[in-house]
Amino acid sequence: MALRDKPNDYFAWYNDDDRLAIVARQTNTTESKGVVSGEYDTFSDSTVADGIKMTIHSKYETATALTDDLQTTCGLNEMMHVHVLEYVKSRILEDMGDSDKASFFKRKYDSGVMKKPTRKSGVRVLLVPEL
Amino acid sequence: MTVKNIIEQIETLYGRKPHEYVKQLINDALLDIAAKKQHYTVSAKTDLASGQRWYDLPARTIDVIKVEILDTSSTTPRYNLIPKLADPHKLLKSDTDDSGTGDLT
Repeated sequence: MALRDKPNDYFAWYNDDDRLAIVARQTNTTESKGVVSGEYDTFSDSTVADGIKMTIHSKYETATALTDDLQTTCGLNEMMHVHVLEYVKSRILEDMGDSDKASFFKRKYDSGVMKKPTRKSGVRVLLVPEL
Repeated sequence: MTVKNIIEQIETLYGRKPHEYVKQLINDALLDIAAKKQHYTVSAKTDLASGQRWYDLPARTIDVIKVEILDTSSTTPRYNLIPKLADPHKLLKSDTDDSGTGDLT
């Protein structure tokens, strides 16, 4: 069986803060240095172009131009745009020395961001079975 | 809503502000929302290289959701989900490979 046949039987991953590690189970004890069959080691076979695909939670893309759209360029859901405006107002008023109004917009921003259920994956409600 | 829309609204309320300053505040807001909500999901691909254990994560990564490996054995190659090692230090025992050469000593 080739090593990449049913790769979920052979490969595994872990990560540290900046890097992703890919390891593969060793199936041939003669080719690896003292590796007992079934242990994980670094993958060693022919290189595969685009062989690893990772899905990540990412920071939004940075806005650089005036024409950048917060949804299409930066990836921010349209429902959240109003909160960006609240955040900007809060910071500007803070810099202008109006801390009361700044706190007002900061509170609006904080509660608005925490309330919006914008993630489309995952269960948001608890389903209680009828007894 | 574009960056220009936000700048226009801000300038209507508070007068003229340097565009770079407002842009920086918008990016600060995006970072703050990303830290609180974590709902922006993207995929990235890279080559699976022989003898290489460590691959750099994209610079904008907050956390890794899933990793898939390309199964090239079938006629139509497809990505298969692979498991995460819950306790790699225990499972990999004395394997201290930090260079990508993959030695178990």
